[in-house]
Amino acid sequence: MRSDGGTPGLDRLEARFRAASPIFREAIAKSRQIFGEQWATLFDETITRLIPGDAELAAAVDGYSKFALDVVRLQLRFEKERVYLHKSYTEVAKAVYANETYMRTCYLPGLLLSHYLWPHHFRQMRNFEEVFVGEMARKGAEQFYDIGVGTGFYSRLALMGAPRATGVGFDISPSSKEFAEGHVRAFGAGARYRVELRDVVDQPPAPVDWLICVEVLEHLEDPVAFLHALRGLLRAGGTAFIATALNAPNADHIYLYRTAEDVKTQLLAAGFAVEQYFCALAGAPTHPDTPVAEVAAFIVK
Amino acid sequence: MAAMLDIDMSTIGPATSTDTVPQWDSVRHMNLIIALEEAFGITVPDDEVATLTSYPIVRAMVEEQLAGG
Repeated sequence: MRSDGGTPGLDRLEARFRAASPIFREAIAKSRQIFGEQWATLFDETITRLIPGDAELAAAVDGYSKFALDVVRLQLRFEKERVYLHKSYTEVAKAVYANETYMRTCYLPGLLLSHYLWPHHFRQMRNFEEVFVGEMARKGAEQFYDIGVGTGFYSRLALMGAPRATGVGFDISPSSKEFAEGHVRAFGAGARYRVELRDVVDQPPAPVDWLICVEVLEHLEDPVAFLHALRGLLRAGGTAFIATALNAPNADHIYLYRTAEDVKTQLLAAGFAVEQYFCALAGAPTHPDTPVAEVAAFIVK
Repeated sequence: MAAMLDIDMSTIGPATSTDTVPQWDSVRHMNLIIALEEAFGITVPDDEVATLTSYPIVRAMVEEQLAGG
């Protein structure tokens, strides 16, 4: 962001969308209309820090276009069939997480831009900052875990908002580790953060007071078993932010949650106490009975 | 194509593109791709989906696919 309030990074991104991926040419203007200049400033800072070069910007736009069109195709299929395409974790892991080219060129850049271009993702992120990171800061949080770091977005927000905190991310994808660590470094918090390649169910680390787990449950065949493991990573009196996607048939989503209540039931079964939750829809349904992708984020103790 | 993009069939021609059809967005685009796949029995390669931004390009892709290509 420039001191004069301009958004040169966002302007570059918009120009690239118009030139290379015109189907998404209105995406930035639409979100700017919904969320205003604060959104534009935050997005601009992310672009400026993480996607500074023209070649990287072109790759990110290309990756986002493929990622988002794939999601639209799967969403249209889901509206008719009402089930997710993949059933097995092994199948998805091979096609997505172990596919380094797909992860680097499509999945991670697509996910990164979606945090600002998809209204429900942006709203969830703001809720996380206000409610969870706000509490971390007030209570002087010292250590957190982020399970399934993806692009490192939520780790970055926690580190920026809670300046005394150090964080450890856990993921199974080497691409995610590299991307998330680079993301945090670009925001100046690299000394307080690292990502370990580890399955926390098989090799649980010592419990901490603050736990973040964003949009992991729907990627698993047995999320309840995973939630039990997650409960073991949280100290008594600790707080966790656990978010999941509902009715969202992305290529790597296996477990179909239809309502927030489905998630809440599993959280309770795993021994968490639900303190509050937040939901946001991707948009209004095209027909009253058409399922719409949604996020549901829980603060649990 | 006219039905998927919500335009008059008589207006479709060489100039029909994302530049001239304001409502041609990602959802209409993917509905168009799926309709083409079902109507012609073809599979549009993932790498080409985002590039099909005009009637001439769409037509060339369909012809190429039908020719085995």
